[in-house]
Order: sequence, then C-alpha cells, then structure tokens
Amino acid sequence: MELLHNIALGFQDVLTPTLLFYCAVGTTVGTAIGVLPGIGPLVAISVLFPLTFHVPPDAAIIMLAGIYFGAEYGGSTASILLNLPGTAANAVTCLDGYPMARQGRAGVALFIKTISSFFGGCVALIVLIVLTPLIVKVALNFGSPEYFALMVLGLLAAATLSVASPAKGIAMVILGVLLGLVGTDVNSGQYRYVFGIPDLADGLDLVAVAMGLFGVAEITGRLVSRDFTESPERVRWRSLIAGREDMRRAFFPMIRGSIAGILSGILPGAGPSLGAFLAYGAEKRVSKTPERFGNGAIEGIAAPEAANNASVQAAFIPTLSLGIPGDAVMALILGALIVHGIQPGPSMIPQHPELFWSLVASFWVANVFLMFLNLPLIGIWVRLLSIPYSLLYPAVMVFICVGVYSLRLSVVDVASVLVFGAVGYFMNMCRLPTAPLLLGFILGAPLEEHLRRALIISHGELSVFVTRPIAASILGFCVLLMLGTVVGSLASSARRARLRRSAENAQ
Amino acid sequence: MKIPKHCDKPPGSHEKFDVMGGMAIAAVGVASAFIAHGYAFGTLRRMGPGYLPTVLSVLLIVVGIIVAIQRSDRDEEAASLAIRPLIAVLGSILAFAVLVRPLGLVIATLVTVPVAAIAEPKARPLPTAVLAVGMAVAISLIFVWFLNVPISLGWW
Repeated sequence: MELLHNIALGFQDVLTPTLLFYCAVGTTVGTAIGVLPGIGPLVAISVLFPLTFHVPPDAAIIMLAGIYFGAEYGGSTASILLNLPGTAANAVTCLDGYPMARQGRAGVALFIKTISSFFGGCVALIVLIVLTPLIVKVALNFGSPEYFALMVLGLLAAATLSVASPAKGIAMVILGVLLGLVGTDVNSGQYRYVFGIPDLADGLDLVAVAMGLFGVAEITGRLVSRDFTESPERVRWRSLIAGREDMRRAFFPMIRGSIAGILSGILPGAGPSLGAFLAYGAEKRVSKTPERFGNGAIEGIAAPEAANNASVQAAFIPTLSLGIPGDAVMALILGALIVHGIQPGPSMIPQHPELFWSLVASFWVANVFLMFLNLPLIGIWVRLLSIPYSLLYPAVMVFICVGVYSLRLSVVDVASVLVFGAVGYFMNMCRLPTAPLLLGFILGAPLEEHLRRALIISHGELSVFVTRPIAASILGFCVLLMLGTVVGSLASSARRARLRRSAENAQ
Repeated sequence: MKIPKHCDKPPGSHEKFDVMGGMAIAAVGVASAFIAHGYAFGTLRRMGPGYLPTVLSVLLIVVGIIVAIQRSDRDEEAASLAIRPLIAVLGSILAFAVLVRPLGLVIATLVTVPVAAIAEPKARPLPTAVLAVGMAVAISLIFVWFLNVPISLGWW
C-alpha cells in the first residue's frame, strides 16, 4: 500500500544521526522550557530560529516542532508539582494534578500525564497522516476567494472562541490585521504606517511582536503576581508506576481528550488551551462522580493532557496542507520553511513529499523521546523548578533582546519588542486578548492579497464570494459562528442582569 | 470553573479598565483612519493601498466603542499597575537597544541584566553580577561563536 510505503520512507529518513540529534535537542530544550515557568515555547522557538538557517529544512522543522511538543509535555510537570502552569494549556492540569501531588500521588499523576500525552500525540498523528493529503487534494482547487474565506474563518474563530468578550476579540483581530499591513504595499509600492523609519519598510517583525506581546508581558505579569516561592517535593522513581485502577480510569478520558485536542488544533486560533479546557469540561460532564474533579481525579489529568498534546500536533494539519498558520508558533515554523525556499501552501506536499513523510515519522519519534525523557528524567526537571525566578527572568530578557536583534540586526526590532511589551502589558491590564491580535498580524497581508486578487478576477463583483460554493459555505459558517457568538453573549448578559437583580432583591 | 489565580482583588472594579481599553482602541482607529486617508483609496475592482486600512480603521472605531460601553463584569479581579517591574523590564530592553550598536554585545548584556534585576527588590548585587557575566559569556558563545551571527562583541 502506498501509505505504508511512504511512512517507511519517512522513517528511513528520520533514523539518521543528524535528524535524531535535532529531534533530541528540540524535545529536551522544549521540555526544559516548558517546565520553567515564565518562558514559553514561543521564546524558545524565536531564540533558536536563527539556528535553522544553517541546517537542512527537515532538521529545522523537527527541532522547532520538538520544542513545541516538549513544552506542552514539560509544562504540566510544573502544573502538577507547583500549581504553576508552564504554558497556558497546562493551567487545567493544575486543577486535579496539584491536589494529587498534595495527596502524595504526584508520581502517578506524572506517569498518567506522560502516557496520556503520548496517546494523544499518536492519535493526532494518525489523523494528520490521513487527513492532510485529503485536504491537499481539495485545496488544490482553491482560489483567492476560498483562501480569503478561510482566513476570515480563522480570524473569526480566534476572535470569538477562547475569548471572554467577542467584541474585544474582534477588535484585537482588526488591530492585528492593521499592524500586519505596516510596511510596503506590494501592489503600489506605497509605504504604509512606516513613519519614515526605513527598517519598517519591510513590516514589523513577527518574532519581535510575538516576544513583546507574549514574552515580555508574561514576564512582567509574573513579576507582579510574585508567586514563586514554593519548592516542589521530591518525586521518587518507583512512585511513578500507576496502578491498574488508575490506568483503567484514564483510558476513555484519553480518547475523548485526544478528539477534543485534534479538533481544537485544526481550527486556526483555537489551540491547545481551548482543547484542554474543552476536554476537562467534557470529562466533568460525562463523569458519574463529578464532585471528584478538583480534588485529584485522574480523569482531570488524562483528558487535558491528551488534548493539549494532540492539539499541538494537529495544528500542523492546516499548516502543512494549506499553509495557513493557526498561531505564532506555526507562523514561525512556516517562516523556517520559507527561509529554505519551500513555499507553504497546498502545492507544498505534492512538490516535497519526502519532507512531509519524514516530518510525520519524526513527530512520532519526538513523541517517543518525550515519553522517555519525561519518565526517568523527572528528577532533573523537578530540580530545574527550584531555580529562583529572580535569576531566571533577567536571563530570559537577555535572550529575548539578543534573539530578536540577531534576526535582522535591527535596533527597530528590539524597539518593537519594547513597544509591544508595553502594549501587551496594557492589554493584559484591560483584559484585551493578545492571541487574536497576533493571528490578525500574521494573516493581515495575505488576507488583503487574496481579497484584492479575488476582486480583480471578478472585476469588482463582491458576489464572487457567494457564487463559488466552497467560499460561500466557509463564509456561511462564519456568519453562523458570528450569530452564535452574538446570541450567546446576549444570553449570558441577560442571565447576569437577572442574577444581579435577584442579588439586589435578596439584600 | 475557577482557574487558580495569584492575586485577590475585589470583583467588579474592572469596569474602568474595560472602558479605558475600548477608548484606546477607538482612539487607535481614529488615528489609523487619519493616516490611511492619505493613501490612495481606489475602487473595489482595483483596491488601492488605502482601501483596506480605511475600512478596518472605521470598523475599529465602531468595535472600540462597543467594547467601552459593554458591561462585562465577570467577577474578575481588577488588574494592578505595578510600576517597578514594568520599568525594570522595559528599561532593560531599552538599555540593550541603545547600547548594542555603539558599545557591542558584551557591554549591552552586562547592563541589561542588572537593569532587569531591579524589578526584584530582593535581588542581591553579587548573584546579579555573576549572572550578568555568565550571560555575557553564554550569549557570545551561542550567538557569535556557534551561530555565526555578525554582531560585534565590543565597540570596534
């Protein structure tokens, strides 16, 4: 069968010292980054991004991907042991992981989370193998109207799904798109929003914006809340093996979590946090004993962990098949491909099938590495957690500054980190979501390009978006999503008004 | 479902931040529309450089107003404005930006670390100094020696 043949070829490529080395580096660094609170995968990927220039494309991608996967694996270690999530998606794991640790069952929690993550990853990989070529086949018929519609869907999803206030999300997306238009307009050569600064003529740098919005804002936020004094208890190796009862309990949550994770990974802007939240909520609703959740229910770890690992792997599906990144990490990974002269999009896989299949094989290898990294090396990760934050964050600041500067040797880029760090802090203060802004920024220029092209081809007729079936159905879905969100938010504000009134009456 | 948060503030005091955020958004929209006005607009058939920016700016103003007037009290704690960490972190980036070209990577790093460390009142001078030197060495090794990034180490 051709599928097996391709997979075999992929493994043949991967089981070479070079690729295995970069996979190992990526997963180890990623896990360490994930364990350490205050540094996210985005910072790590940005810092190691320059390395990918000097390395063949498959090695580059697998290293970056390894960091991404590793960070999700590692982040939950801190969640369980310290109640401090390493990444946003691991926040849910705190809810039952930390109570389990306090009950002396930290080892079991860590074991189950590793197994669940591995399971989620494998399932996601199977979906990736099956779904991606199918999507590519459909997408080869895509024209600019379809791309535009897809990007609108992605932006809308990002703006409305994991956000408290859809209006805020939409505002951030629009702002992001405007920021994405900073630079030179390709069609006319006109400088837009450049303010006479030459370095801005190529636009704002993605890494600088991402580091400022997420990295700097996160560090500042953590310094403000100043909650990092606890040190974790030691975890003995023997305590890691979970009993049969625990494994049995974790089994179906793993499956349900994987599904939630895959769905959230495929949808742009949704991401592992959403998947983990959904998985946890679903488990609680499905459980016959929901009161156990929050007190150390094993299902409360198995499902979200399977979900977040499945999600980060499934995020590669739209990235590799359509060339549309779901978040900043995927955008950077696409950037690494572009650096090597590989044009992302539906034609990428048909033109470079060996790249796709070796990536597939290396994802599986990464999952295996992570499983073996996490179990025996738990002791080391735990010791990492006791590094005082006051030493850690200045080091991270230096890495951020040098990392960004090393990309284009531009002081303007470093200044961008400064500006967006302040902006990010302001946004966090006003509870404005930052992720939609980043996604808008990434998709801004391509969005305009496809809109323009669609309208040129249709001679200015907006109806082109309605007459073409795929574009029409995607946009129809957008309308439904908008309606659903508006109705939902109206309903919840009505509910809140009712509650407020009854609370006032009760006084 | 409560996610463990690390600060406890009275609920409901968040509204003024929401309004502030919304007005900031609308203000950005106004500024952006003003700037985009200077670019050629074009027609639907041949969209000029100013088309999408203008449309988006107007949308931004509208949504900003919606955000400002929306009541969204969700029992969230109000955010705190902590000046010291903010100045320290932003200051360290500024220090690096200003120093890296004229004085080189090593000096820039040596200054960036202590400035960032200001955020932590408990930071003691000796560990900070050791960290600064350590980072300068590590950065030089990783970026200049290993990755061959052409950043000058010093002022030459």
